[in-house]
Amino acid sequence: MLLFVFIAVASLPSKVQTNYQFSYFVCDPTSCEEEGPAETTGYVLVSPNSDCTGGAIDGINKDIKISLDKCSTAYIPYAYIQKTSTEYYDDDTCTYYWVDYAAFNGEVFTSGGVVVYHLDTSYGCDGSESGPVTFGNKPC
Amino acid sequence: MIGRTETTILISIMLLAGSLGAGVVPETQVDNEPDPRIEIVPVDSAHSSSIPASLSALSAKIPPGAFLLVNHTGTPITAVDVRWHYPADDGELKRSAITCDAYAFAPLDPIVRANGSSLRTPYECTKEELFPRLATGGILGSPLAPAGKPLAVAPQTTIHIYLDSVIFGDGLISGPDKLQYYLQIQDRYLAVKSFVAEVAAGRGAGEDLPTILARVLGDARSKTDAGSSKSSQRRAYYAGLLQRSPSPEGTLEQLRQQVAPPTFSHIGGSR
Repeated sequence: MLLFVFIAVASLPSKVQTNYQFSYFVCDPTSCEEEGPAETTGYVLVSPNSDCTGGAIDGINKDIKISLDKCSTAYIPYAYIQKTSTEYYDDDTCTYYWVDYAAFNGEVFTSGGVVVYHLDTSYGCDGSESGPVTFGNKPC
Repeated sequence: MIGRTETTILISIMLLAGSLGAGVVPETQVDNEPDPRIEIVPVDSAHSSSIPASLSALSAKIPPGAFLLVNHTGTPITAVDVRWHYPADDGELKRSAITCDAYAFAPLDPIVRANGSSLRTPYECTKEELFPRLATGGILGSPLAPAGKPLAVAPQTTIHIYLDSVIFGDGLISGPDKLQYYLQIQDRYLAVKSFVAEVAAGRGAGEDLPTILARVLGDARSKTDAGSSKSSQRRAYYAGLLQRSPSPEGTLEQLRQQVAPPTFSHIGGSR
């Protein structure tokens, strides 16, 4: 019996891979998406507050601000944050675990809907970062 | 007699001079010069004579690793993929990256003009005509300020610039191109064409645009739960883009106007 218990314990993974997920996520001022009016100078801002599990980082508490500065014509700034989750497999512990990400995105539109600029940066609750990637050019 | 303000200024100058003398400001090293037609000029004191006055005035705000990408050719640059490597103040070796791409939306607006220059920082790419406006930037979307913490480069160390690829408007690619960013440009173009065709098919079947977008978005998101399907992510992105747009028909027309990227090839057939 004692031998059986020893074998059973020894065959268990030495540690269990933790998840890196949001335990709390709220955006300011009112939502995770902010669209500005058509303007030549101005900005939109989204500020999330979050807590992450797993212990890699406390949370993702950054801002995204898309600004226009004395443009010759009016543009519409847009900022938004999207949460995603990805499941990974850890070879060491032979277990699956989840990582939550927050993608910080921004766009600048003309009033006719033409996109002139897009920005994308992603942060993970495991402390990872990717980007930024920018498409097009800021007009001003 | 020296007043309190003058004393404070004097102490600040002494501290600043001491810091600079001790090499607290990290040095910048360019690890690869992929092509003699491209010049990489780090924005630091060693290259001050090559930095435009509009940038020199902001030198205290410009983050470590920033550089000017100077295009000495008559062909505009349409995409750049850059990596930075640096020892962080916590002792770890860290990496930062930026990719700037003109191919995503029509009409194509180059990111570095022919015989022009552009500022690259770990946070943003900025064309030279916007240099005078850098003093007033956003939190994200500004080359001077990151979304979160700035790069915490350890003092008395070196931040390395690695230029993986520079893509010219004629399709020539300069650089080691280990990351093969041009493949993403090609894939994205195919995704746009597929999305536009999907919308047209939906309309042909009698659906209105909001219904099509909701359907495509729901379908694409259901396939991205593993986070591995790039094509589904792109479908979701374009459907979401039209939903966010102040004029979805205008954005759809822009996507229809997307022209095919050029045939890409590496300068000197280096790959």
